[in-house]
Amino acid sequence: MRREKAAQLILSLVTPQEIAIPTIGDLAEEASFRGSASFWPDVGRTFASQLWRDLCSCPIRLAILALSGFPLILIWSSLLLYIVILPVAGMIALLQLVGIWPVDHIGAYTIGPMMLAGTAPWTNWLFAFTTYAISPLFVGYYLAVPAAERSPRRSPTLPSSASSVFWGCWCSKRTCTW
Amino acid sequence: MSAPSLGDFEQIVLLAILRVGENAYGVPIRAEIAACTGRDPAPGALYTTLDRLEEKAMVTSRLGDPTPQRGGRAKRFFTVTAGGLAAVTQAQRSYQRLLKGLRLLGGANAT
Repeated sequence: MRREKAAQLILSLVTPQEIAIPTIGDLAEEASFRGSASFWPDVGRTFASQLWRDLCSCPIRLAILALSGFPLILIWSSLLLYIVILPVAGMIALLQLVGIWPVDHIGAYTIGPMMLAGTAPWTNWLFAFTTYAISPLFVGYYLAVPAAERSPRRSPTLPSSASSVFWGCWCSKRTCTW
Repeated sequence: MSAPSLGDFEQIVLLAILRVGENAYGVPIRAEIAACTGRDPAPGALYTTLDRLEEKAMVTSRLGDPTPQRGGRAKRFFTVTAGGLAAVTQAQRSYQRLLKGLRLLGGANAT
């Protein structure tokens, strides 16, 4: 049931709740006789189709609203940086200093350099692109949704920012040598 | 007045809803399409098409009662409207006119 709730949360980012709920019910029912391996791919394909459909149906409005999403993302990213990432990076650095956290583990090798030193310019560029280009699109998408449909949707700001950070960390982990 | 045009997959979905009848929700509609056409439609394509058909007022949907088999989630039942029926009928008649006089595999349409 936790799986269905998570899928419902994901799908409700791109479709109203009253559609997301029966859709997940259908996919769960199909998974019961097709095999549970089909569930997440089907959720992913449904998510992609719904997102693509809305992107195609209102591209100009979406682009305009994406620009209005930019300051929101800027504020959110700043908050994320100062409230979450820097304390976490600092804590990891401290744990490494006292020898609890392995030096080669994901942590100061990724978040620390990325945020503080900027030793891998192209990954920082990717991080910035993801944060300041992709995330505003998600915000714009959210804003582009008619008001009647907006209320049951979750704001995509949080997951998109989290995915930006994850993506930045992953890229930095692969290239950073600090 | 001519009925609005329909895409191939929209026609398939409308016909599948008609074939399934009262119990037409996502799962049996998808199964019916797979059984009749031999191709398994992607769920995303099916649900976006159903939404589009509803926006075009060719189908209506209603939520059924939540069932424990689906984790308390209701089924969304679809019904073809008169407009949808007219559109799919017109589209099929166009196909029939195009096929008329053609000798296809099996020769069934050769007249």
